[in-house]
Amino acid sequence: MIGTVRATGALPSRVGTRAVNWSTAVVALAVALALPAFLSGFQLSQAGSAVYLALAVLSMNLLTGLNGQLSLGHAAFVGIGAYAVAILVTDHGWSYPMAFVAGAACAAVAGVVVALPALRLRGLYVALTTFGIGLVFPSLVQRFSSWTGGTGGKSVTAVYLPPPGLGLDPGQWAYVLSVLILFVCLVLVHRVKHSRAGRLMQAIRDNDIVAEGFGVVVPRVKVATFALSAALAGLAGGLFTLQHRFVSPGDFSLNTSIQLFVGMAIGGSVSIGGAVIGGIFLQYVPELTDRIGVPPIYTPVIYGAILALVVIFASDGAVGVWHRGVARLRRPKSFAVSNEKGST
Amino acid sequence: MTLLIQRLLDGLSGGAVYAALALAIVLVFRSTGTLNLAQGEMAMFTCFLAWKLSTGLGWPVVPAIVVAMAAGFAGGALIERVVVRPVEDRPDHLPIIIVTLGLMLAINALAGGLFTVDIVRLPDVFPAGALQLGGVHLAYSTIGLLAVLLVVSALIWALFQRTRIGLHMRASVDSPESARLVGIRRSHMLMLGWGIAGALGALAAVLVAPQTFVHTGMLQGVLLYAFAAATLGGFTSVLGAVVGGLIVGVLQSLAVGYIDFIGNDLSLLVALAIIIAVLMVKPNGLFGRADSSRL
Repeated sequence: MIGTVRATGALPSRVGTRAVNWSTAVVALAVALALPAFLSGFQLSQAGSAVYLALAVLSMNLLTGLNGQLSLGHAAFVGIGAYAVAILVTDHGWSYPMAFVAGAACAAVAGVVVALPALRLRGLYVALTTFGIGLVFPSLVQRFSSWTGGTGGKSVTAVYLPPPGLGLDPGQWAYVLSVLILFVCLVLVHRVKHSRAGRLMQAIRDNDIVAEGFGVVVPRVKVATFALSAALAGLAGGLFTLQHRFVSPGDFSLNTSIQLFVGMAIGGSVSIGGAVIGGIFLQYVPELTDRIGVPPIYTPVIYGAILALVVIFASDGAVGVWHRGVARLRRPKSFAVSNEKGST
Repeated sequence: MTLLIQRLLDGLSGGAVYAALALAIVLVFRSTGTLNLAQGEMAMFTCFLAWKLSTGLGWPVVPAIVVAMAAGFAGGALIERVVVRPVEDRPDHLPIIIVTLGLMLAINALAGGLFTVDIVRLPDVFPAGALQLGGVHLAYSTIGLLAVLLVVSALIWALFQRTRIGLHMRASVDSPESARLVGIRRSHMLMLGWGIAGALGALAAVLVAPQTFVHTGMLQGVLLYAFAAATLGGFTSVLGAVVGGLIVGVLQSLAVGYIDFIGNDLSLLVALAIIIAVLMVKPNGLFGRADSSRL
């Protein structure tokens, strides 16, 4: 569910699925890394977009799924990371890895500045300020056009050369690196989720008043989560720049923010692997709907309808539906009952 | 000096539009306790409807606007009934916001698909021209906007404070269970709140159309200003929305006029800055009630 989660009792037991999840993850990683051998340059760049989108969706899963906060302008943080990397490697001669770190840091700082006043308060205020930054970001790009290239966009001339001996061209290297970074981030968020900090985040999501009663400094955890989420979004922006070597404000508009939201809802906000499903969805579904005859102008209508339907009927997204389906197949009668009766 | 007065007047006329949309936001917030992110897009859609009636079918502009407001009312009530009602009872408000986010996306695309993605023009409601007072232009449209705002906010106030229906609406928000026990249909009151908000949004859209023209993105910025106005006014107060809207309009006009760094490019940043400043200094706004929570 977005925001609040149904008790995990309805899901298969965690011990049982963990081994499955890890093996799925390793297989998925191997498949993703093998793709450059089979895909054309264009197909690979599409796959790369899915990877960067998945990282952006992951950053929202961390914020909304784990901590119950809402960001309506996350594309702005992706954009800040993308522009920071573009400017640093093009105009200041930085190396890509250093620029990635700086871009993520810039996004985190911007996230804290925007979110801090709202995070002290309960309620919907953070939706307001993030909506604001999402809307303002493109006009900031325009205002500082001497650095950013304005509405026309900015070309990035620096290429990140692959290490010799791997036999990859720069496009393939950008893809492989993106996949590896996404994988590391997925593992990182997984570790955070099951750490003490992650439990604090989830406690605040489930009931902030109770959490506060148990001595959790709620605003501190919220701000830290927001900063981490914005940093991941900024890193996703860095991958965008690495792959496309061109940035323009249209890629980081309010619409993009809302699309990231759709990706999160599709995959299931509380599921870490769901982010990958969300990224793949965002990259390939518009193409699919186009092919079956829906005019591109109506694609957002489908997105909007999906968002509403998911929230109303399947608030734990695709991964949740899958788990429930599997659970139902495995033990049709005791479905509602238990956690302990053991899926193996 | 005349330039300052001119900017103040321009600010008030912009502020009247923000106030109208902020009123719509406040109505939804008071009836459902959440934000309707699609408020601006719903209004944009009805504005296109008015455009279609007036330029496509040759209607005079005033009846076209009345029909647009009626459509706004019907649309607001319908959306409340069909998509908001199923998630209304969830313990937190995130689902409703997310549903309205989906609506925002969908309505925007629908408007582009059904009407046009071009920028078009709705005939002016108010006569062009201006009163000359010293060196200051007082445009007839400014006078008209302020008059409309005054009448509308007086009507809303009277509805809530002086009529039985308004009493029922307030009761069903303040104390849902008790209201239900004395026979008030809470669901009807919610639909009514969303409907009135839809009509107000339509009004705001046709009033701002002469400045922004009519296109699918016409109200995105205005919506942020309206949020700023509602935040400043305190989200729960009708008076707050009106006063907040006018203040935000004036602040925008002054900031754009006098702060070089901001200029026209960054006028949206003013709205964001106002929201952040209010949250830091006085989170309940000028007229809002303190937020309290219990287990």
